[in-house]
Amino acid sequence: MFTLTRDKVNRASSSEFETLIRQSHRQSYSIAYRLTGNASDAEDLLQEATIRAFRFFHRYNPDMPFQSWMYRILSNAHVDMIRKSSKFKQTSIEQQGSEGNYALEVADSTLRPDQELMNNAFSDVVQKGLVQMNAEFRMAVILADIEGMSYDEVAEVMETSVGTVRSRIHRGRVQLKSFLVKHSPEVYGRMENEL
Amino acid sequence: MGGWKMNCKYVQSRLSVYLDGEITGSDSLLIREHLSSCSECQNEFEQIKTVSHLLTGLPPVPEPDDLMVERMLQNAMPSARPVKVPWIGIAACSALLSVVVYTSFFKAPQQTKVKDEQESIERAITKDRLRDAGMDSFAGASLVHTTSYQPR
Repeated sequence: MFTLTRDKVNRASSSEFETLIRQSHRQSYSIAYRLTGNASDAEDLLQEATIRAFRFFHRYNPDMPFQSWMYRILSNAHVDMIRKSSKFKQTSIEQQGSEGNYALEVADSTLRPDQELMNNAFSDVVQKGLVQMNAEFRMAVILADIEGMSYDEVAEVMETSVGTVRSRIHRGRVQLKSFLVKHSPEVYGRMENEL
Repeated sequence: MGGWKMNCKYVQSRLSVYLDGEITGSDSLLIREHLSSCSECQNEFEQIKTVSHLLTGLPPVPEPDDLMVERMLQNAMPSARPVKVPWIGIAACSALLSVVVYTSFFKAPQQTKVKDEQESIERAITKDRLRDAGMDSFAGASLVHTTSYQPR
């Protein structure tokens, strides 16, 4: 059969792109979910990132792992989404009201004694804390702590220096700690003792 | 380096790199020394370590649905995905169409003409037979009329 694509090079690139997307899809979705906090927004973010990736695929340098390149696109797309969408309007953890209240409702910190349920609920609080963080801090923490990337790898993905990555990771962790202490003090204390 | 003690603000800003091992040997030793003698910084270090471990220990995110990647690709590259035109199928359809047109507009009228001729011949034969039998070739009625009265 004949195809209507213009030339064999374009066809080969599209095929290659499709293969790379399929291979990286699961991990990319995981990052998108961590960045947004829910499945629907994660899919929207990943869709936008995939569109951008295809548009600029001709600029992709194979010296960089494709997964890392997708992480970079996800990070940039996420920042753009935050700027555009009021839904993602952040209330910086560092910006507290007079009573130290936060705009986002969080899971009830009064948890059941069952350890598994407590851990699951606490995971939800951690995820909510992630979403509340500064976007750049959040991405740095996700890549380093959840994805297990080195500082050099994180710096390459985020197109910044290792020194900046160090700062973002540390400040991100401090932000998250403040959030957990504020919204789930009992459970956080218990987890801290167990660890 | 001799005698210089790190202050708490500096140490606390370096706790993450210390935790992650992203720090030089000499700095690492200085921070460790400070932590051993400063409960406030030690407490801060433990909290940073707890947060890092909580993140590392998060359960996997819910699995995406099986068709998500297909949607992603279709939306990202709809014009690039090759459209395979079934030329053989089109050729076959064209041939079939040609046959249909030919039989409808050319062959069929000829067949009808032949059929009409045959029918005409058969009617003529029937007329002759009827005539030979003494019957009216049109109505099939006998040409010899019989009467009920006696001849004179």
